[in-house]
Amino acid sequence: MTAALREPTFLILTALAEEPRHGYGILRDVERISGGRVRLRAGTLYTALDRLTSDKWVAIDREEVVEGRLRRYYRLTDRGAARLAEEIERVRATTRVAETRLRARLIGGTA
Amino acid sequence: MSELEKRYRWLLGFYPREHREQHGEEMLGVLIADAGERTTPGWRDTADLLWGAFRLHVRRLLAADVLAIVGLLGPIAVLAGATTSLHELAWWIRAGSVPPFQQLPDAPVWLVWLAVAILAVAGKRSAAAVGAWVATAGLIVVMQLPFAGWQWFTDKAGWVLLSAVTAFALSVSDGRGVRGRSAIVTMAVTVLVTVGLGVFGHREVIAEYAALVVLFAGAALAAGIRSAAGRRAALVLSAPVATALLARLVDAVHQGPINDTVSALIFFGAPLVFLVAVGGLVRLPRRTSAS
Repeated sequence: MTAALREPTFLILTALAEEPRHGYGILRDVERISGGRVRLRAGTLYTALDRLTSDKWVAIDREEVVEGRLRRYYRLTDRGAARLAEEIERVRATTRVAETRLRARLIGGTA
Repeated sequence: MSELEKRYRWLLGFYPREHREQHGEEMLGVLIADAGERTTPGWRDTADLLWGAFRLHVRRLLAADVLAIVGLLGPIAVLAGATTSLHELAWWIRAGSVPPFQQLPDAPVWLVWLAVAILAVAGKRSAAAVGAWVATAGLIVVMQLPFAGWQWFTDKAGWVLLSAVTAFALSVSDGRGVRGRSAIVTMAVTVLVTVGLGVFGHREVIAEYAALVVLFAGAALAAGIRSAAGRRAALVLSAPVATALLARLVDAVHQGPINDTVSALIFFGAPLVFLVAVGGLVRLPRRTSAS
């Protein structure tokens, strides 16, 4: 069985699922999609990107220079998208069980 | 250059060189954009960058290709740790007596390692991994024996480190993609020469230093210095050389025993930090960006 993704990894892959993003763009999007709950920092982001690129879940899309600084865009690969889909299915299955049990509890089964 | 940029550059200096070359400027841009109005890095950013740097150093040192080489050569290299016991055994045999347990309590550990080396060379990696963990645990137990003083500690620390990393390598690496026979023969010859120098040149300074040089050079030759993975593996295989040199340095500046906590910090902590830091200085081939 594949191990569950850690939350920062899940959020980074989710950020890249929409479109290729540069490092700062990923930080801001992760903050947005987590409703401000998760605020990644550069050290964590680039440690994660190092692993994600070596696992070929993420690849460098393009580079550009903005105000004299290198900006590198990352994109989700097909392998990364498949892993994200697998994780979504895993979370969905767990959520379904939780929902069912909670509903049974509310009906009066195990209060 | 602003003070903020200067400080971030200093923090990025802790990252592995290859990562710095590939991502340093890009990370700097992200850090500065994320800093907002700040003029110095916050403590959270600082801790995050240092932790990230440490993780990347460890990841490179324990990369699959490095572990594959350590898994192949480590079980043989560890056998050089039996030198002191073999010297003791030879002495007692020459004296026509049977050595008491206190004189070579680690003998069973080296016998297990010999079995592990044979199993590893024969390709029985799972059995070798189990044996390697048992032998590593045995070595740690031996270090705790009441008659094993702090000098035992300094003598064995490097072998415990190499034992643990080798056991880990045998457990997680399938050993594919490493060159075999010539590396094994080189490592085995290195161990024989090292043990020979240690046994016949016991307490002779030149012979003892020569043994360390042979072990380091042989490990480098066997692991392959042409590749970054080989150089990193050679560093891991030379952990006992680092602790032996450290022991001589400590002995030169501090006479007498050192308490267990300080010994552990010096003889386990310092080589680990050294391995992680130097391992990160070794250049890796650039990764391609396409997938």
